[in-house]
Amino acid sequence: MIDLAALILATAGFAAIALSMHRHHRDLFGRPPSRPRALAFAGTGWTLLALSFSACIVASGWAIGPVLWIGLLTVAGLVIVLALTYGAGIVSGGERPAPRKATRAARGKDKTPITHRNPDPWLVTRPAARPHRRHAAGKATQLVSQPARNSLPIVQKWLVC
Amino acid sequence: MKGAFRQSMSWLHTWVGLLTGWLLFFIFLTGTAGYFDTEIDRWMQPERPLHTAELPVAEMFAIARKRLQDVAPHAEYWFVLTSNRRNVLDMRIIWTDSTRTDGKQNGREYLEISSGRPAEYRQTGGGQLLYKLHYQLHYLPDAASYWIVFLCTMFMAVAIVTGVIVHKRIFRDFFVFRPRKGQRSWLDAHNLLSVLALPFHVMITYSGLVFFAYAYMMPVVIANYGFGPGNHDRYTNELHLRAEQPGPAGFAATAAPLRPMLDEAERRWGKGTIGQIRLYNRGDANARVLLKSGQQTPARDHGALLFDGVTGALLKADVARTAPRLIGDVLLGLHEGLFAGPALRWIYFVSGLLGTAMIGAGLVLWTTKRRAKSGDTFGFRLVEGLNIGTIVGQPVAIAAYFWANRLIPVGIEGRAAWEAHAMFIVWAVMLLHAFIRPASRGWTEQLWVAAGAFGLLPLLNALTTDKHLGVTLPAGAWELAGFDLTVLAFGIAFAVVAWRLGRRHRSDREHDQRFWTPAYQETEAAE
Repeated sequence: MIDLAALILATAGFAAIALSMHRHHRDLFGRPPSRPRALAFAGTGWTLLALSFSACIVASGWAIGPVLWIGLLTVAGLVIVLALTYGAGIVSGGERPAPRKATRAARGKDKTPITHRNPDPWLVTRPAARPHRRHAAGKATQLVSQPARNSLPIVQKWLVC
Repeated sequence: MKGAFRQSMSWLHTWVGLLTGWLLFFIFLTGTAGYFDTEIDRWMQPERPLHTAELPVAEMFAIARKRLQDVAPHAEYWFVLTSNRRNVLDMRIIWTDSTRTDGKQNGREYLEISSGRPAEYRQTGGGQLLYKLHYQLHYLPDAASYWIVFLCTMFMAVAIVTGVIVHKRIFRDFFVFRPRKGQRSWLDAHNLLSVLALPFHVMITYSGLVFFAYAYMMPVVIANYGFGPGNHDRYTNELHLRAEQPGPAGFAATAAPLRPMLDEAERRWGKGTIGQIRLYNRGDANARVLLKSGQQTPARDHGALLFDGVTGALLKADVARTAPRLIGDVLLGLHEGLFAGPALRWIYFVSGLLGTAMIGAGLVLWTTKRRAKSGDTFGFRLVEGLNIGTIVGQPVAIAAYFWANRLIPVGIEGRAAWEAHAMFIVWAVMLLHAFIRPASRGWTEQLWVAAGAFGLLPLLNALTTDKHLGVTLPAGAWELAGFDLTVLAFGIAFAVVAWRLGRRHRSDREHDQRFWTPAYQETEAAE
C-alpha cells in the first residue's frame, strides 16, 4: 500500500516538475510559466519526489527502498510522458485544444503536392500526407481560446490561479 | 572543438549501436524474461500443483532426510537445498557415497516438497533456458558466448556514455515525445526510453561486466595467485568464501541433533531463511554441519554457520566481507534482482522492456534517417531485414518456444532440446521472411504473426492443460494466471501496432494511387 502511495507521489512530483518547464506549461495553459510560478511548480515537484523517497524507505527499508524509488521514478516518468503526449484532451476536460479551423487546415494541406520522389510509404518525412485528428495538436498552444481556458476543470483552475 | 567532439561521439554511438544492436536486443529481451524465470518454469510444467506448498525448514529437512536415507544411507556427504524461496521450486538433494562400487558415488534428485517423492514433470528448459540465453548463446560453447556477450556489453556501456554526451537536451526534453513526426518521433522515443530508465541501463550494463570480470581479467588473477588449476581453486575458494572441511577421522561417532543448529540459524537470520544444509563426514568423528542463508538481499547474503556435527558446537559464523567484495556483491545482487518482491519485480521487468525497446527504437532510427538517401542499397536492406527479424522475429521465436512446450508430446526423447530448437528454427524463418518480403509488408505481416503467437497462447493453454485462466483466476493462482494475462497483453499490443501500421500503409497506397499520376506530376513540376 505504501508502495502505491510512493508511486502516486512520484507521479505527482514529475507532473509538477513538467509543469515548471516552458514547453509543457505552454501546452497545457497556453503560455509559458512566469518565473515565480515555474519555481513554485519545481519546488512542489521536488518536495513530492522527496516524500516519495521517504515512503519507499518506510515501505522497504534502506536496503531495497532506494532501488524501489528509482524504479518507481521510471514508471512515473513513463506515465507523465504518456499523459503529456496523449492525455491533453483528458486533462483539459474533454475539450481538445484544437479548434475546427486547425483540423480543416490540416485536411486542406493534404491536397498539397507531394514533394518527394520516393513512393515508399515508409518515407514518413512527407509533409502532412495523412490527415489525422491529432495533427493539429502541435499547434494547440496558440489556439487555446480564452473561453476554453475558462471551462478548465477544477483541478486545472486551481493550478492556474 | 566541442562540436567536433560531440559529432565524433555521435558517430561512435551510431555505429557501435548498429553493430551490436541485434545481439543486445536478444540479450535484453531474454534477460528481461529471466526476471520471471520461476513463473515461466511453473507455466511450462503444468503438471505442478496450482499453489506451491510452503513448509518450515525443519519439516522440509525431515522429508529430504527420509528420501536420502532410502537412496544413500551410507553417504558421507548430504546436501539439501530447501525451497522456501521464490526462485527455488523443488527441494534439491545431492549426495556422495564413496563406499559404493556400482559407479553411482554421486547422485542428485529434485523432490516435491509436499510428498517427498522425486519431482516428475515434463522435460523442459523452462524459464531458466530463456534466462541463461542472455549470457550463454545456446549453440555456442560457454567460453565463446561469455566473450561475445562481454564485447556486446562493453559496447553497450560505450553506447550509454556516448549517448548521454550526444543527447543535448537531456533535461529540457525529459518528458518530450512528439508522435507522428517520422524521424523526430523515433529519436524522441529512443531518447525517452533511454533517459527514463537510465539508472537501470547503467546498473545492468556495468554489473553485467562485473559478472564475468574474473574471466575477462584473468591476468589479474594469475598475477596474484599464479598459474595452474590448484592455484585457480585457491582463488575460487577464497572468492566464494569456501571454508576447507577436515577429512574424515576414520572412526565413528554419534551425530548431534540437528534441530538446535537450525534454531540457532533461524534466531540469527530470521524464520524460514535457511537455504542450504550440508552434512560433511556423516557418522564420522569429524562430522561438520554447514548451514547457509537463503535470504535474498541486494547485497547477496552470504550468511553461513559451521557446526561440529558430533558436539553440536558452533565453530564459525558469518565470515565478514571486504569492502570491494561487498560492492561487487551489491552490483551482482542488483543485476539479478532476486530480492525483489512482486512490485519491484514488475518494475525490473518493465525497465528491461524499456531497455529492449530503446535498442529497437535505435535500430529503427538508423533506417528512418537513411531511407531517403540510401534506401536502395544492399547495406540498407540488410539492416532493415535484420531489424524486422530481430525486433519482431525474436519475440515470435520466444512465443514459439512456449507453443513447442505445449505441442511437443510429453515423454519423447530430447523434448527439452526440441523446444529450444523450435525457437531458433522459427527465428530463422522470421529472418528469412524479413529478407524476402518488401520492408513495409515484412513489418506488418510479422507483427500479425506476433499478435497471433502471443494472443492465442492462453487459448492453446486452455486446450492442452487444466491450468488455464478459467481455473487459475478463480483459484487465485496469480503466478500462473499472470503468465497467460501477460502474453495476452503482448498479443493485443502487437495487434494494435500491426493494425495501425497496416492502416497507414493502406491510406498511403490510396494516396499514392490518387496523386501519383503523370498529370499530377506535371502540375507539381509546374509549381
